[in-house]
Amino acid sequence: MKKLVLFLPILLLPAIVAAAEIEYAYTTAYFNIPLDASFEITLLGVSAVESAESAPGAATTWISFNFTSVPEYWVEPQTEGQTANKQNGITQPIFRYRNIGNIEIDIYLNASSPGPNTAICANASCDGTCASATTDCTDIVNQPTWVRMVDELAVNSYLNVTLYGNVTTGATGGQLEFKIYHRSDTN
Amino acid sequence: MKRRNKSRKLLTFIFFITVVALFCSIIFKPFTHISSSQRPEYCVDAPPDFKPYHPTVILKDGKKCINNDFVFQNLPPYPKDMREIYELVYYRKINDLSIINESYYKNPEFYPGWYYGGKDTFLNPPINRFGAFGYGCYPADTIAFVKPGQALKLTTFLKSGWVVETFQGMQLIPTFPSSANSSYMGWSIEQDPEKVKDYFIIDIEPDVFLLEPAFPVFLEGWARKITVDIKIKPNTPPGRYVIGIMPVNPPQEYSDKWLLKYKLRYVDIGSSPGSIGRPCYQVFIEVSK
Repeated sequence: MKKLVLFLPILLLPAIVAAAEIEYAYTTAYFNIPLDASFEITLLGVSAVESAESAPGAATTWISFNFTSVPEYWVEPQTEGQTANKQNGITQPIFRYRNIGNIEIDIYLNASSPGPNTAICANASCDGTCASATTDCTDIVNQPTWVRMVDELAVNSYLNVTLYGNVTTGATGGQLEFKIYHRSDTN
Repeated sequence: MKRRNKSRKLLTFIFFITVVALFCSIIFKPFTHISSSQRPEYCVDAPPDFKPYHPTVILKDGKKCINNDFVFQNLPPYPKDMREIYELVYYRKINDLSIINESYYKNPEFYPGWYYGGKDTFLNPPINRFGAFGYGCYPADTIAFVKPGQALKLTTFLKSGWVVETFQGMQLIPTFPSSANSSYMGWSIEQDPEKVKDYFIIDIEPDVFLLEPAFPVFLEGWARKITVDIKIKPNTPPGRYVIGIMPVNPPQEYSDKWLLKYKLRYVDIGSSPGSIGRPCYQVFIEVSK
């Protein structure tokens, strides 16, 4: 009798599993809205595209602010540490966004902190059509809410984003790493 | 006699009109829709001193043209009915996108953005800049009407940005935004993500993959077909909900493998500066009893 009690749950197991499986009936009551929410970002620099025959060339994707002294203000970033790929104000922005979808989008920035006594701000200008862009350099580090760079960037329009870095007394020397986050929203 | 003459004239007139209509349909057919299996030529007038400065562009009969042999070399042959399929999808005549095969979705002409910006990218490639990040979903929204216990099998296409030269590693995960709007339906949805996630069983296929570059050459994996299987649990209360599909970083083992393979051309989509705030793909669901 004891053996039977021990075996019973095992015998019942397949029945329990089968009961848990629910049959779902597939429905076709849906339709697609042909929206395309897409974006792309270019960085300063040239990949080895000229030598490419069937595949793209190299493309590195990190940027740095190279400070030479403390304090130092309004330092502009450069791609892959190359001075040739250094931002030059709005004429040569570090990031250039493009709305490649078919609906207007907003773009936001946020960044983690590189360390104490450092600051990064960003401003933007539209190349094309947008409702408004953030033209004052605005602190983007550890902000409680995302910092909007552009409102209603139109289809196939560009947004130029420039970044500036400051270090003040007390900043740690060496290489500090941080991340910049981008976000875009549809309207 | 007069009546007979009249009907003879009428018959002659009808015959004449029919012949003219047939003639016109034969003569003008090639101009009214694309029926050729050849990919269209994408050309603009070239300045007198123009010299191709990039492999995506060639000079042809005094015009600046996309170098089709170079740019599209890895893609499936251009389908004869591409334009028709494009229109049928765009105007919602085909909603079951699972029937769209790679001959269509791997060719850029399947996507609306190709016509108002994509082809211009290849005709005017960027100078001193390179495409580092970027992607999008088409279609980006689906609206569904279901009952508890039903299920949906939906399809969308995820593709790289036109100018993107990197291999973007990603994982697609379901998300439940706390709010979303469908301007098409006029729906404004507020929901508690913690509750809503228990109403649905979601499978995404493929969920971990690499989005290959689109520039300067479209690689075969620049666009992917994504299938989203959503089961509505029997206990789901009636209401409107939104489910998002969002790209995030792939699991570390995939990231490590792809980084070693593609080196400087590899990026993790989540940790790099390029995430899209709204889900790449949104499914608005109305559940009724």
